[in-house]
Amino acid sequence: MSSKDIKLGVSLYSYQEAIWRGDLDLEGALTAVKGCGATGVEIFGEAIIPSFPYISDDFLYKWNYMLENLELEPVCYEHFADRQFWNDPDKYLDDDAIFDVTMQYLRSAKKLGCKFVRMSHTGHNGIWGSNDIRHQTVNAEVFARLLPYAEELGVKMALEVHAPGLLEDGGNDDFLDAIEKTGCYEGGGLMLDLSGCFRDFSPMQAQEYVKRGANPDIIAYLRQMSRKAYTYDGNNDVDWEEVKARIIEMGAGEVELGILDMTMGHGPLTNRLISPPSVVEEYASKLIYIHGKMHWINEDCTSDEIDYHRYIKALARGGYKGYISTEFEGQRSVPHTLNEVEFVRRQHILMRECLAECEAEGI
Amino acid sequence: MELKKVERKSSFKRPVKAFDKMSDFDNGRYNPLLLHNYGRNIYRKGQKIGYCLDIRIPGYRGLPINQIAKLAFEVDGKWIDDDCKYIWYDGKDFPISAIGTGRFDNEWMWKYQDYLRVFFEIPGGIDQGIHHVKYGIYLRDHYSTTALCEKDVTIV
Repeated sequence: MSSKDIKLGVSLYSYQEAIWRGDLDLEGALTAVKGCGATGVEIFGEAIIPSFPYISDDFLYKWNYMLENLELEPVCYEHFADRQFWNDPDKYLDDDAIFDVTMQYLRSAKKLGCKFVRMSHTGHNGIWGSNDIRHQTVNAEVFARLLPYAEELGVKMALEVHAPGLLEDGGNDDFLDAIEKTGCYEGGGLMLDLSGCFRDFSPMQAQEYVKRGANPDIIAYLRQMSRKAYTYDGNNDVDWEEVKARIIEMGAGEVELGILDMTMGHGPLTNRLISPPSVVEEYASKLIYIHGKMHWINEDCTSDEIDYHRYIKALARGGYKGYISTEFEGQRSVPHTLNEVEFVRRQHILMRECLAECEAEGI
Repeated sequence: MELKKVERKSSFKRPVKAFDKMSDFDNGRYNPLLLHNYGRNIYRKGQKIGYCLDIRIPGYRGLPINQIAKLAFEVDGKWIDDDCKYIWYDGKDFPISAIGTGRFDNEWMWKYQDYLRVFFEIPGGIDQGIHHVKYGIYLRDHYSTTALCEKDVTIV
């Protein structure tokens, strides 16, 4: 195990608004990746590649030139598997069609030099999801059929586990079973999205509650309790009934009380669904890729949302070998007001600091 | 191959709205840049046959045209019926009712950076000037994206 095996990348998803507005073209986005100190890139065909779903020779020529010039490595190609394209609600793409669509993504990933495809799959939110086939993406049966082809192409299908799903909730057992039964261990594996590791709101989210009429003191208190409960340092007992009584005493209204029941789709604050560092350490050697999801990094390059120091240490201790690719998503809550390049830059400073700490401690 | 069964619990409520009025888009993701600042009347032999607005796709990726489920507009407080809406895009023009019928290939994309021109066939067009426009979109993608934009648009 060594922190030197952990590399840092950026998903171009992070610059989605700058790309959408035309402020950054592909070369600009890749230059931003290089500039923040990352070495790997994740690409979205639907946002970046003019000939999508195909990769034209013209695009490939430019892509390869830019990567070589910037000394960047292609890491991951994003995959989607929508089934509904018709007004008739009973008409949808069947599993054979989803297989064909996904094969195209795998071939494209190979062409682009990516080692992974971030798979849109039914285990994306772990045990949470739809049992209605029209709203499903790649299911375990299709995944099993794809595994030998992915293995042959040398592209791994990364099964992203995203909040409210958890690595340990069993929601991907059918997919892991498919890997076992086919024996195609090089065809796919689990990937973690750091949305499953949030201990606190972002300052932006806290501001949003205040804008909606919440008392800032109550928000500060709830954040303090959230961090206490979800830091998992052995001192994490919080009596949520006591917290509720206290905020009522402080004058809590609908907004503040609502936070206790549901926040950010990651489960209620009183039972936030996150994988603690100990679980991430246990799974680390089995993970093939990581999305460094974040909504905000403070100006001093610290994070309220995630305890990066503990999680990166857990990954290094657990033997994770691979990329953590930034997935900045804060812009989606407050369109066209955040500087995506700046937030990615700050996160990379923070992650490099964590890796340096690991190295200093001999991890 | 018999695989281990995983029963998933439903965590998402999918919209059951008809999206036939602007208020159905109220909980959508607001994006102030989804509408172009300018629109234009369309003339034939000197006569206005309708007018156009240019719109953009919400979210973080381009999507097949067939994933457009609803495009809703209110101009100066007046709802625009689907019957008069046409799409002009990528060298094609067609009534909005042609989307999702199988007429177009699912690989035909509304590209991420592109404006899509929507033509309203309304004889006489609209007076040149500043008009208040509300635009709502509902997409069929598996996230069921709903978005909206409201702004003053200068129509020439």
